[in-house]
Amino acid sequence: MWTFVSPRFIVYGDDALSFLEGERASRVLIVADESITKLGFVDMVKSYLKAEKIEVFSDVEPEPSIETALKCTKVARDLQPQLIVAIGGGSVMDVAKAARVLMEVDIDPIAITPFTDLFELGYTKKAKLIAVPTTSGTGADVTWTSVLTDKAEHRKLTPANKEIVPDVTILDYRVVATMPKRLIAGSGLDALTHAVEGIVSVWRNEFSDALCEKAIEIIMNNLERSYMGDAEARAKMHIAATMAGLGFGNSQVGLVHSLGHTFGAIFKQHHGLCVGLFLPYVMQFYLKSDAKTRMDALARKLGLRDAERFIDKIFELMKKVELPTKLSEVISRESFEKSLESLVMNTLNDSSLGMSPRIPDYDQTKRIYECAFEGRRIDF
Amino acid sequence: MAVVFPSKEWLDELKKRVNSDELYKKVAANWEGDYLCIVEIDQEALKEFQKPKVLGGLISMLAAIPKERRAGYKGTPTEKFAKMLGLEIDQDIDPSKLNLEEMAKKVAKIKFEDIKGAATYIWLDFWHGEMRHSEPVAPGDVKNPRFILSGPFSAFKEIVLGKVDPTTQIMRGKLKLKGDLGYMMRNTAPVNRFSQLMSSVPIES
Repeated sequence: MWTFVSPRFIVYGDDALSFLEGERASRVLIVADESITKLGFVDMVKSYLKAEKIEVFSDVEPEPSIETALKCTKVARDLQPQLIVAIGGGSVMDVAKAARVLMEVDIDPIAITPFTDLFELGYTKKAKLIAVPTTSGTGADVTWTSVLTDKAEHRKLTPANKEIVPDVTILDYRVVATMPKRLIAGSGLDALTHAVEGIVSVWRNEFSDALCEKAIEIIMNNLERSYMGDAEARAKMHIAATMAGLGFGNSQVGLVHSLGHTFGAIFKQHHGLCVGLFLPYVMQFYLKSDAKTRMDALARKLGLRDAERFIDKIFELMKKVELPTKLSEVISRESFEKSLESLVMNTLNDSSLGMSPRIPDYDQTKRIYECAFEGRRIDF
Repeated sequence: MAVVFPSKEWLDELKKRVNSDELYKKVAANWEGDYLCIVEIDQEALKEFQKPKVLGGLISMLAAIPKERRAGYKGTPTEKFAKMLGLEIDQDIDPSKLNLEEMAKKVAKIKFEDIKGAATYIWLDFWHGEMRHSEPVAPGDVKNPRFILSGPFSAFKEIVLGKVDPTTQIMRGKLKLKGDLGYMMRNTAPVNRFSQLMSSVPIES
């Protein structure tokens, strides 16, 4: 038995935020971050709400910590909102997803696992959760995982449960119209990584394949154009990111995310940049696995000869959107070597790893890092 | 050498593999925790136990538990199943002296409904890179295991054959996992490596 999980509504378009006018909650918690608030998006959300009491939690930092999720939980417990609106990137949505559960159930956030019966613990889904992504990459608006950083251990943890998926996602093109170029590139690569990992995952299925395939097609055709300022391409990328989210959310990510989570937590780098950096190298590693057939088929659908050409195309795309293609462009050799043991161990302990079509052992993980650092092709 | 599942031989081979695996030692250096696995006898198991060698494996599990520690099985469907095979829960059992051919013929006549709820209990205990225990136990024998993994024989068999990993079985609802789930999510490397080692034991079917 398998299940396909998704929000009840996906609202999209130039005026999609007006969906909020139909919400009847009297107490609303808006979760955001500082920059989203400064850009006026929180006020934009408020303008559509009719609630008597609206509180804003805008202390979400990039790659948010468990502590931030707990702070947000405290605000939610005090307010007891009937509706939570998370407007922002993946960080904001991840915090809101965790806080929505934790406001009702007093557990360690990491105890929210796919195997946890939240209802048995007293969860009643008191608050509805609406996600409004302001970047086009994370897919967090439609997935049932949340990524939080354990600052003490310098690693990312992924509370996950099918009951934490938002009820509604709103894809309003206006909020991505002014997205900084760096974010367009990073989040775009994040979306591409989701779709590729979703299609090679050991939990892939017909539903996830369909969504991931289409998302890859849209991303490969529109990311560069969106980066260059094309509004139509930007809107398409916004749709594709959520589509990829629906796809990988139902088949899961794998090794790329295990490496990216680990690298991002230790070196405090943007998630999209991290996963994008590892994507082509991991695809090279997968060339010696069953996933090659699927990557070859995918390449042909894109009009490319085979998986190797697809990998080259991804490297080209990364250069076009001015993203680094090797770790040495981001960190020094000294800091890399100092952290290598932690990088390897934390990667092997990342919960996404199990769904990879080829799971590296200790030595292979180390070699993958070394190749990605130096920009060397993986041929083992 | 291939062994049957479940059996004392399988448990011994598993322990040997875990304790001689350098990678397991490394990734599980900080792991502290045990699993109680409850393998429920289902219709597929009843079919398998019609093979004398496989039935012998199951009986070897019971025989390996000292008879004074088998009290937990008293009054359970497992005791009923044993009786149907001509065994008393608290008797001395020497599998080599049993007529497994005849006992397997008896299994063929047992209806699943008559023994529904019968199960065999396995305790797998790990501590800082070492597998301290890999042994059959009776219900109630292991107090407060960190994890309890339960489900039908067929779901466990797919894991030991390497057809599917434990996480997938749980996600598909074929197995149930209870316990300190947060700890497990923080320490997936030992879990994944152990799963790989478990499916590396050749199984005779």
